[in-house]
Amino acid sequence: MADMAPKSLRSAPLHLKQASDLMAQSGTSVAANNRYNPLPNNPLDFSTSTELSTLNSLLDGVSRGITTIRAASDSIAAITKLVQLALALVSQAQKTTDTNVRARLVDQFNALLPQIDQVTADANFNGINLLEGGDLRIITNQHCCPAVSVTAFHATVSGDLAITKPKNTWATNFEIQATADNLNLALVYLRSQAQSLSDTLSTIQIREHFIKTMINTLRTGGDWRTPADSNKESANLLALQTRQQLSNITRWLATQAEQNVLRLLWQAD
Amino acid sequence: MTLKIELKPGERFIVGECIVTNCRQRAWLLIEGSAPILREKDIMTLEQADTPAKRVYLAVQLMYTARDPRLQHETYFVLMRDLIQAAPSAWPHIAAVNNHILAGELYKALKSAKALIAYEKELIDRQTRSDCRSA
Repeated sequence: MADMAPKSLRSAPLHLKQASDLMAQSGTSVAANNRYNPLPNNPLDFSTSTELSTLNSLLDGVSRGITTIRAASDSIAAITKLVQLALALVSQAQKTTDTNVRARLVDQFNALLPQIDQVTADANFNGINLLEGGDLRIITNQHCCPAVSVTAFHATVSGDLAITKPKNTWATNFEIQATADNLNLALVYLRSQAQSLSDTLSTIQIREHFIKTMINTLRTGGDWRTPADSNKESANLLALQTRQQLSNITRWLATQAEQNVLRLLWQAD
Repeated sequence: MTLKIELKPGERFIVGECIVTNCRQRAWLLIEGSAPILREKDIMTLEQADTPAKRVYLAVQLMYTARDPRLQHETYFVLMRDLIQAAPSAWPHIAAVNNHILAGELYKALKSAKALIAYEKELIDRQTRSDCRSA
């Protein structure tokens, strides 16, 4: 078997050969519960299931947080459409001098305002409404901090949107323009809130992906964190070092590095 | 969070997706914001990442500076699992890295990964010394 090994391994120091022998044996040793027997009352064994349980709880919280944020984002989109409809009515009023037409447009405008408040009221998910002052705190690690916080606001016409009813049925151009300015400010505010939620959502989704990947790794690992003979760990590491050099993992790291800003630093050298 | 950095002439660092080079004199910078910041001395190249723990550091570094860190998650966990299977006693160091990543503190995760590299070296040096004594 040694003759079939690459030349680099055949001429390697003694501890490398021991390492490769150990790695060849490790599969049967673990299965036979032999050299790699767990110690009695092994704290690492205990922590695997505890950790899985904690991670699953974290994942539940994070997933609920994502759904709450998405519900808020969808509601902001719906409110934005209503405000844009209101702006369209303003635009129509600006194109006519007929006071009766303007009065009818004001009625339609006023009918939109309670619809905006209703969308806000319905943006409740899991008991939290980010559009009605319900702050959200999403815990993404076992020590509970730092958590990801989402500060709520009040997306109502009388709250942060500050959209006021026309006083004189748009009798003057000045009054119509005041309403238009009011609505444009509300749109800027809504866009800013939407962007902030989108940024938070991206952050949370990355954490969620990390937690899910960690859970999958722990689940498929079995008792892979059982302590081995500490004298063998060094040999194991050296064998792993060689194995990794020949494996796809280093090629994958190289591919990722090529798409990273770090390549600018490496190319400049 | 405000970061204070002192740069020697010619020293470089990464901010977000840019490389900043300090040209002539020693400089002191205060940086605020959430973009990734990495000093030249903390940057590991592909060629330098030639041990299992150093590859874990590289994976964390790529996560820290990538536009989409999710692309590095699988690689990180493969490297982590392989290292722990080889040296289960390194778990407390890996757990520290994991917790910092979970908390979104990638810079601290890099520091913990440096401690992991030091621990790996200690394990290997211990074996080398033992081989010398028994030789």
